[in-house]
Amino acid sequence: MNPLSRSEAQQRADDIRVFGRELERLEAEQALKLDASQRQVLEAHHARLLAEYASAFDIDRDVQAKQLSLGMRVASFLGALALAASAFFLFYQFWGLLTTAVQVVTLVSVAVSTFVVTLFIQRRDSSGYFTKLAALVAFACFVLNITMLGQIFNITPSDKALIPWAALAFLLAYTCDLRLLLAAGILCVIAFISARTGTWGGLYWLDFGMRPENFFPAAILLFAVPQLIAHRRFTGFATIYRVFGLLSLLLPVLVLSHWGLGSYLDFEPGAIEGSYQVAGFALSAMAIWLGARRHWPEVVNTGIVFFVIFLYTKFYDWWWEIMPKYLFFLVVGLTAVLILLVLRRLRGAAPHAAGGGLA
Amino acid sequence: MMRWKPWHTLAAGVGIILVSNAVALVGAAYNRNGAPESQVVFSEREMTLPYDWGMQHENSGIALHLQWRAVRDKPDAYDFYAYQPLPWLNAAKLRELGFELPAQADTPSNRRHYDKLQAREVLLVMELDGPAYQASLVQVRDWVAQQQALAARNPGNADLQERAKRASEKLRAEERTASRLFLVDAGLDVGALRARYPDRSRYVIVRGRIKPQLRIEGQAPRVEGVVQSLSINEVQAPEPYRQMLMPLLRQQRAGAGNHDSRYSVTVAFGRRLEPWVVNASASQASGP
Repeated sequence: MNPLSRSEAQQRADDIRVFGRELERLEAEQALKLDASQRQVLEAHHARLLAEYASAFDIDRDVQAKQLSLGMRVASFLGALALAASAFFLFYQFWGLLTTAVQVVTLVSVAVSTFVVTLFIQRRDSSGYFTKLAALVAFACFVLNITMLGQIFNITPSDKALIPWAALAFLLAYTCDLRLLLAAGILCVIAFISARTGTWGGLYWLDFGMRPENFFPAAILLFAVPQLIAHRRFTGFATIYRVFGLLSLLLPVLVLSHWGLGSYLDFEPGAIEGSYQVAGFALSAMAIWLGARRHWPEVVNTGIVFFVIFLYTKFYDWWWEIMPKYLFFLVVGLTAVLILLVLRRLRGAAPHAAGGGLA
Repeated sequence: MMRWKPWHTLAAGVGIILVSNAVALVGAAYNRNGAPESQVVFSEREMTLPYDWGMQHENSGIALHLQWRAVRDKPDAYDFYAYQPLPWLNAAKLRELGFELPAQADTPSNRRHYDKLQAREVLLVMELDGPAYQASLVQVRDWVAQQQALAARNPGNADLQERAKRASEKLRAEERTASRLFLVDAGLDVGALRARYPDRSRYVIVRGRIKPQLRIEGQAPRVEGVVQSLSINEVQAPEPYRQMLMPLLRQQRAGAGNHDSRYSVTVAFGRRLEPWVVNASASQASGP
């Protein structure tokens, strides 16, 4: 099967390396032995694949390369942040000296040209690091474009600016296979949907955070996206949708479990907080169950984190004041051990997933 | 099914950028099209230069900040008007603005209702150098006279002497440097408000946020409204006028003290109630 993306090629290269190590062990344990011709064909096949992938995708061929790649990812991200900040402050330094027409032309030109440059780099950069840097700068320049246009013409702030920002972020994310830009686009979508939900509920759009329930529609949408649209070619994209969907659901529930006045519901705050605490436990347990069933480790882990947070905040509410502190932390520690035992049992009972190694 | 090609990506991205800019520019053009909704000449008292803080030194643009006030109960209250209750923003007015307020405030569920109420964006009417400012002047002058009389009757009381001195400084500020722009009314319909305040050179209609709150004074709860902020607090000074303002901004950053108004700015408010600078000139202070 020919990989369609860099991440698929990298996964195959990693699998080849692991396969080679396991084959050595099997031969040393005399569980398997390849004859000379089989070995020669296998090694030639793997060498050809790795050479193709290295040429087309600039993959990491060994552990040292992988470690250097991590450093390149960090450098790429920091470089993008610095360049974006530089572009912002450069414009900030000189825009007052320009006429309005020149300001507008400059802003639009920079946004368009950084986008075009990103596409140019993307077609020539097999590693993806330079593309990531350029794409982040292009997105930052577009955000600067719309924000400064609003300042120049004293436009009333509006949530509608989030729509083109999200659109460009998604376009760059899917074109350049960039999870960071996907996250940026998702954040814009969350903010827009929450602001709109708040506006329909009678709030001023910037106050959408004052009613955490405004985030629930976005949570449902984000969780549904990878179910409705396959993301086989985009490694990690479905994970990001699901994680942000869960965060958009569980974080507001956590907030409301301690701040009943922030709810749309018109009941006693204590009753609302209690209900959301129960809901928090139920939803995080459901996330653990669903993630285990559908082989979504990120959903399982997010569910576990929030289950533990809900549990520990309840411990704090019940016992912090009345228990000696050593006893309180002992209870917390023993609870962590209990959770470990439960998860180990669940792991042992779970059916083994298909996959791993070469397909 | 159509296969997505690289030129589709290019067209989509450039399209997103150009369309969003076009929407913003068309909106700005629509706002400025035709006769302005209002056009007012502010002095430095109402349109102040930006404060020197944070990254302001990196900013070559000048955003003039709109300073507004409201008539207060007490003249010696601190000079902060946002989030402060206004006498005319009572329960009846708040209901007029669309807030659902219970008939009685003093039940736990009704008090909870008030705690949960959030701000709404409404239309605010600002009056420049009108009856509200004159009333504020009279209030301060009366208060100053009281403080001075008290100090004169108690010459050995250092605290009263100090209060009289502060009162005189406040009167000077009220007469020469404090903003003459007062928030006087609120509503939901521009036409209805303009019919009530037809002078477009004195009354400005802007957008802002109002929130009701319940104040418990003794046993009697009182419903009052506060203005949280205006939707647009600043107006950018475009290039020709920036050159006139920049030396004054440098003087301010160098620590130039209290001074009378050094410039006037003509600001128009358009069909979307968004402002822009029409003219700015130096040393045409419109003092008392």
